[in-house]
Amino acid sequence: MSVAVVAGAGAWLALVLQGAPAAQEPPASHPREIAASPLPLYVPPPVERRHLACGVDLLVVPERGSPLVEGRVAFRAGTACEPSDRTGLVPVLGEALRRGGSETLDGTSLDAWLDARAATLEVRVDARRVELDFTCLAEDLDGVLERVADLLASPAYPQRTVERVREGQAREVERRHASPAGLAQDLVEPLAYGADSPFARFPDPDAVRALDRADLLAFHRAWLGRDRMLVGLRGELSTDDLATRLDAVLAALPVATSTEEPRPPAFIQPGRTRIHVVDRPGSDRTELRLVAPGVRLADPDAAPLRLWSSILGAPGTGRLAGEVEHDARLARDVAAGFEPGWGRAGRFVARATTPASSAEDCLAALLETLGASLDVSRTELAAARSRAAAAELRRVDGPSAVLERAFELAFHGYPQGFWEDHLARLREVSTIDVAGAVRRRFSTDRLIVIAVGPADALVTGLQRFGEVVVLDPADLLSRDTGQPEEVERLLDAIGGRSLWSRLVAVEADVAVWTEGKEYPTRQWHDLRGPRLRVDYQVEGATVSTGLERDRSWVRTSNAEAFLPDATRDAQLARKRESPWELFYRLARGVDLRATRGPEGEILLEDDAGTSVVLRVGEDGRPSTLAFDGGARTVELSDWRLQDGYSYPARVVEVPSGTEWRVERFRPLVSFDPRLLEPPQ
Amino acid sequence: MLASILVPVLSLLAGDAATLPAPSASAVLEALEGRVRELRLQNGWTVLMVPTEGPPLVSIETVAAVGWVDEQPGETGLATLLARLAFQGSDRVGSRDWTSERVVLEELEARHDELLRARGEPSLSELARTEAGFLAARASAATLADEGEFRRLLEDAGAAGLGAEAGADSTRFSVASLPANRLELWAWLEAERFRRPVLRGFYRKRDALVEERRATIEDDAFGTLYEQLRLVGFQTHPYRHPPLGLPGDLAAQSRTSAARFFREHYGADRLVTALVGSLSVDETAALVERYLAGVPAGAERDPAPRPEPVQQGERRARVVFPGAPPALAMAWRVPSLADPDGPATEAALRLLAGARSTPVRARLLGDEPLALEVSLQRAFPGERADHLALVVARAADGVPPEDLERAIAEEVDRLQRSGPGDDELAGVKRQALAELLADVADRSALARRLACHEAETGDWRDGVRRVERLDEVRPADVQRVLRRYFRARGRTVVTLLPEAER
Repeated sequence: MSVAVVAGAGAWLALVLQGAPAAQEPPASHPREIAASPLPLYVPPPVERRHLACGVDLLVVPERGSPLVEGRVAFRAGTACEPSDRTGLVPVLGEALRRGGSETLDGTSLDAWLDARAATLEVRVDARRVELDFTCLAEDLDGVLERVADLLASPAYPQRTVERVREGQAREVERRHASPAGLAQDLVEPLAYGADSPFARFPDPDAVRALDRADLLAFHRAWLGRDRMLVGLRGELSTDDLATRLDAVLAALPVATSTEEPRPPAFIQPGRTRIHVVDRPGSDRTELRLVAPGVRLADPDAAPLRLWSSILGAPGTGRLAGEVEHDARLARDVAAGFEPGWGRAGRFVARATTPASSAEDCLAALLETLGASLDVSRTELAAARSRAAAAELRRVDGPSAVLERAFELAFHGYPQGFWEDHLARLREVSTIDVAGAVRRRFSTDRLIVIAVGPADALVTGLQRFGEVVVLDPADLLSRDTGQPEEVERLLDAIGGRSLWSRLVAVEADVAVWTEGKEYPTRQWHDLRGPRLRVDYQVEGATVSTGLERDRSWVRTSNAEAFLPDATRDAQLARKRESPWELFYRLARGVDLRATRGPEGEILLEDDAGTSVVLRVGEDGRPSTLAFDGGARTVELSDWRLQDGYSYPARVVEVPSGTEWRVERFRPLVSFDPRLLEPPQ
Repeated sequence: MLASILVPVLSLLAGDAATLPAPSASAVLEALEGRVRELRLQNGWTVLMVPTEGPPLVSIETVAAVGWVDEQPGETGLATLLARLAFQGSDRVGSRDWTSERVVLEELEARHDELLRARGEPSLSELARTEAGFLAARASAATLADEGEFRRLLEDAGAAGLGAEAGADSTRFSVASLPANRLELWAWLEAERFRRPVLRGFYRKRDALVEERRATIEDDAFGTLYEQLRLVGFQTHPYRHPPLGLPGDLAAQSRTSAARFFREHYGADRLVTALVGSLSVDETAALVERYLAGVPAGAERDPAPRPEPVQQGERRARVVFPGAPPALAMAWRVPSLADPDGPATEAALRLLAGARSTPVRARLLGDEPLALEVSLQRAFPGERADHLALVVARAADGVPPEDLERAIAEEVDRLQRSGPGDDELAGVKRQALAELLADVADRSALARRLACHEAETGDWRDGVRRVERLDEVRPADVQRVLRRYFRARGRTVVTLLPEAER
């Protein structure tokens, strides 16, 4: 770290915290009158770097005179690298790695070895990493490094340890999901990014219990190689000497066999606010979470949004806490803010715990405060800057903090001067900048709201804020659908499995061209069952027809009738063949079997007699659907996007020539069944 | 920071050695002696200042030698409640209009008194009327309060890690990190906290604590287990007081009675503050003289509670809690920190269940696991007086608590008979030393260690000396204390079962 850059940070700290010294003046009558003298310039200890011959990057913070050493060994591989059918693998791996020891020193012996030296070794994991952290007395460093290398080179993962760890973690998930707050927290990412995103899978105790030793070993070999490793140490150390020692110890470690990084997830923002209610019958309180897209740390808006978050959402002292918690007394534990991401956009999250009877008022108060929060005063901005300045000072508070800061930057591939640049940006932020960033990045009209509480007390009242969906968290669990990889790629191309599997119904305006005539229609397809309604405009009049379970009906302005069974069956077959119903059923992976054809096409079948050959275009989306053994096909084109869903706006049937032009497509994640009733 | 404190000592120790040897606790004490500056204000407030190198930040720990032990019958839970009210401000901080708020707060007390009287009368309509009057006054008071201001002033100045927590022996008021140029602001507010506190929001916080008691003790299996452990393990000593009070005690408290408790117990003579970080001793001393010297001393301190009578036999309790995981708490009565047997007792406990490889943990969590979790508490609930040392274990599936009890007792017996090996004891001493070194390396942890020991034993050095004393313990000492204290007669066992035995 260069002195010049740090001096910039120090100068800024002095600017925002300075004032006249008041050492011998009489006590102030109020603390706001107390001025502060400028802070002295602080130059953090330098960080030394080496790229070892074995390929490992090394960071060292020398700390003269310290008898303690702290070390971090991180791999660029975390829960996001788990196979989709091995959810929960990495946390089990982390704990089983530590508890199980190595082939040469079992877990019990490793414990004894470490305890005798007062050394600690822990493994922690997150979406992007597996990290081994250790502390020891300086005189024991060589031994500890050898133990760490041994653990990584020949991990034991004893089956019995794996069984105990996975059971413990499965129970931990169950315990967390029994708590409304824990459940609400675990729902944020799946609902924000889609449960099929590797960064956002919903924890599944059953999947954890299905893991075995072979899974852990396979992941270890695939990902925990020295080529994905970053090492950091602080203590009384010579970097050159340490580099030589580490090279000798780490060179024997294998390289990772897997290199395919998971794609960062994209936030799935609804077209308008959507409220997911998770029913907790009889609960007297509701956990609320309000979620919106965020920004990357490197985004220019990250600085103004950080200050805004501090003003708005600081626990206990922010505007939200003041107005919703202290003044209106509608909730407790109120907090909010943007949580920028290192490698992805991050998100905005607001939280509150409210009595179930106050949930509606609480949400209204949160939205009102959020909606009125564009403008911040200069005084508020100065206070937020002061908080941020102190937080940045804490980030270099001693060698351990300096190591952590440098380590995080290196791990995520950020330049080492990043925080200094961020500080410089913070210094320049004005109240106008804050308002502009908030206006660009935040809207109270398109939030994902999570409400865990008694559904019967929540649903009606919350409907005034947006679409209400009663969510069963089990629907978010990834399932082994047995489908070929081609299906996953296809679903990715049209919005993702999670998005389509959450769909409940489709409302669409479709112009139907047949036999040289156009019939404007409005259609409602309930994707969960045999329910459908189509309103045709025929010569200025509306003719409605539809399905309601075992009956098919038609109604005009002056007549209504039930239709013959043959018509009903035809309607039902057509409904089951509609592209969006096929996509929905593929995403659910429940009642539609998919296999790979000899040329890479996807063969679809169900028990009701549907048999479709689906071919995919160059863009990965479906291009044709062939029915009746190829006697009838439909071509899908003119793909458009609505609320994250890709849908074909033009569908042409061959040889009949009938064409459907989708002029408006509205995916519904909640659905009022009254829409299906014949018009009165 | 560790380096800045220890460098002179380590330089001598290291000589030509390639790697630094770990300093002894005595060397750490010597280094600290050269750094810690003590200041005793006329009102009795003790201030410890430790200047260190590093960024311009200071960690501050104020410890009041007041805890659950100071509560009299009927007022249990007050120490915890007052800690929760530590950021509510004063007449000058936290009020939107003090002149009006004072009147409303007095009115609120009158309404509360009226409510208490009405609760003893048969008339439901009268009760409803007074309840409505009380709630209206409470709402009125809330509109005049700015309860976040005290905390906001500190946080806007860059403070982090603000907290207040009551324990059995003492109560801690923490600022983990404060920019060094805002010490005057902290001193102003700290004086305000102890000199002119206004317990605004009292009834809301009190009721929240009553609710918390219900959720974390009455409706929680392990909360109930710990409560029974206190009540069975101590029959007369106030260590039996639950942190959230005995049922009914808190609900009967008023803002007036709590304020009286505060005035009597939280005087300057019971306060110790440690400031560690980038500070000038002279300037800091001048600041604390100016602001803190005006805080009055408290009422004359009650004599220490009478020690718990010698336990004459094993005590047992069985908690039946629907759906609870079977578990066991096995506790032994052990001497206070100051007792000559204290270090050997600490060594014995560390040897039994302190680290992962110790016999109790290895036996319960090993290849044939009897337990899912094991924890050791060396000092429950405090250590200023004779207290309990306990092992708590949550049984593995199908394992009855009796098996846990038998396994723990066997490991205790084994260590009693064989005594620890020299290597085992050396490992324990090394662990205590490493913990001390880690604390010295952490500004906030050092402030806490110094302030807590100064408040509880009268000398901050005891925070280091306990490691020194541990270093002198021999295997025979461990065997002796195990035989003296870890026997069935001084044992308290509480089992947690999911359903009653038929």
